[in-house]
Amino acid sequence: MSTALEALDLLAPDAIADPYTFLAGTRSRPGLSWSSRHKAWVATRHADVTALLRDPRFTANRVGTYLEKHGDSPEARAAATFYRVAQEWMSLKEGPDHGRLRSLVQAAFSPRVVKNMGGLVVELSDGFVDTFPVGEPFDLLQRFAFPLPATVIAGMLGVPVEDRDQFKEWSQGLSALVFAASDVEGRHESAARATEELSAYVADLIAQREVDPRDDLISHLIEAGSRQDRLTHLEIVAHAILLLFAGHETTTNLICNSVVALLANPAAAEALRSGEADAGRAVEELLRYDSPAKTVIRIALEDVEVAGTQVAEGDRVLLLQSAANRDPAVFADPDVLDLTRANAGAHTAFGSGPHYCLGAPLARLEARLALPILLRRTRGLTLAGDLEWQPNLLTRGLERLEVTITDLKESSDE
Amino acid sequence: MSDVVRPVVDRDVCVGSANCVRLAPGVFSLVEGQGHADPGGSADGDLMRQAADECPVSAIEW
Ligand code: HEM
Repeated sequence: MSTALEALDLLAPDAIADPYTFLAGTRSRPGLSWSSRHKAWVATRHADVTALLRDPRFTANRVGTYLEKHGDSPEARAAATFYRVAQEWMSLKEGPDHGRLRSLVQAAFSPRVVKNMGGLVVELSDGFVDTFPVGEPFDLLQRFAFPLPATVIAGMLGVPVEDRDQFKEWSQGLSALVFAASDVEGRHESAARATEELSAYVADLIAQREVDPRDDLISHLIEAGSRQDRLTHLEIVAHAILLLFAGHETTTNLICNSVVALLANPAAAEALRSGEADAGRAVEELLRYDSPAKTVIRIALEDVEVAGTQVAEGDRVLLLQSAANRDPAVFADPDVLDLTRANAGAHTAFGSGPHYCLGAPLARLEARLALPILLRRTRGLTLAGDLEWQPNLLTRGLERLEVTITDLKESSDE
Repeated sequence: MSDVVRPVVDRDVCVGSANCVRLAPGVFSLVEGQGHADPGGSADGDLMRQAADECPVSAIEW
């Protein structure tokens, strides 16, 4: 057994390159496994991951615990701005505090609001495809998978398109901290700077919408709730940032990971291209097969026994979606991509329970529309470089996705 | 407002995010971590529509 496996180092190069093979052994051991590298318990089976996601004896608030332990460290002080905003996020709250924020934001971001974005997703997807060069390598992440979700969520919030590139920089500053790429130098400082600039920008936007409301998310967040209970100014800033940011990287990664999976499975790609495979169901299988979210973190609020393992109050548990989604106890032939898989939707990519991804309807819509457009409008789509995965604990994303195409069809030729 | 709406939660689809429970605790509850609608339903059609519209996995119908 390699040392990485003994220490359960989820950031070891082989774990980053192929978490599925890396975790198969751990999943077949009973109970939770202890990782000395991450100083945390690790849950890998589908049943354990799902139960823990819904277990009220665990909290998603890792920032509170972090601040209690390291609040005086230079890093925490450097990132004080970031934590001041992040502490308002529903994703880190529990119980009634979480419920209140979730209900208020949910009202502004309902599946019905999202459904209306279909036309924009199609129009934008076609527009990005129009710019692809034929016969020379280009980065599909930068040309398609990143700008699509970024533009959609920025547009929904009410952010002008011109400011998109600025948002990407801010988002990357934040993601280094939130997605725990623990080896990046100066990550606390860059997160702090990004938060400060983004907060100022969003505060400005709120001020504009307060006097001149529009049909956008910022305006709806301002209006959400009753006279007695509304979002505070800081809560609106924090949740605008959360939506912007949560809507960026994960959906980008879903599109890229899906393209990689489809290129390795030409029959599946053809079924999706021709319409023989239902796009909605295909997206569920792609979410299962190579989920953009690898890990959710929970902290025990009391001493708990989980799957026969004694977990002490304050212990961290890493819920490994990447392992749960390939659990043979739930998914037959889990390592095979099968776009017709009946129970693909049982994947844990969006979590479960109270924190179930608020943006799931939007991510699903974008992938369901964008992937068939990409496949129909390009010919000879092939990888043109090695796949380099970001060394993150929480998300599975590529650094870039170099591809070539041999021809481009007009959107009207389909 | 007088028509009673009887929503049902599709338990194969429900992920237990509990938005409906917070909106209309008299109608919806969590049973073993999943949403359940009281068979008596509700006369507040607007509220039921809101619960259905906001459900993140669209598990509420009638
Ligand atoms: C494929 C894309 C996406 C994946 C895989 C994903 C995954 C997740 C997961 C696993 C959680 C639960 C975290 C936990 O339990 O602690 C979550 C929560 C959340 N997601 Fe997503 N997400 C995606 C896209 C989006 C988008 C597009 C948005 C918004 C525009 C979004 C907004 C949120 C928010 C606000 C939460 C917190 C919900 C709460 O705490 O109640 N996500 N997401």
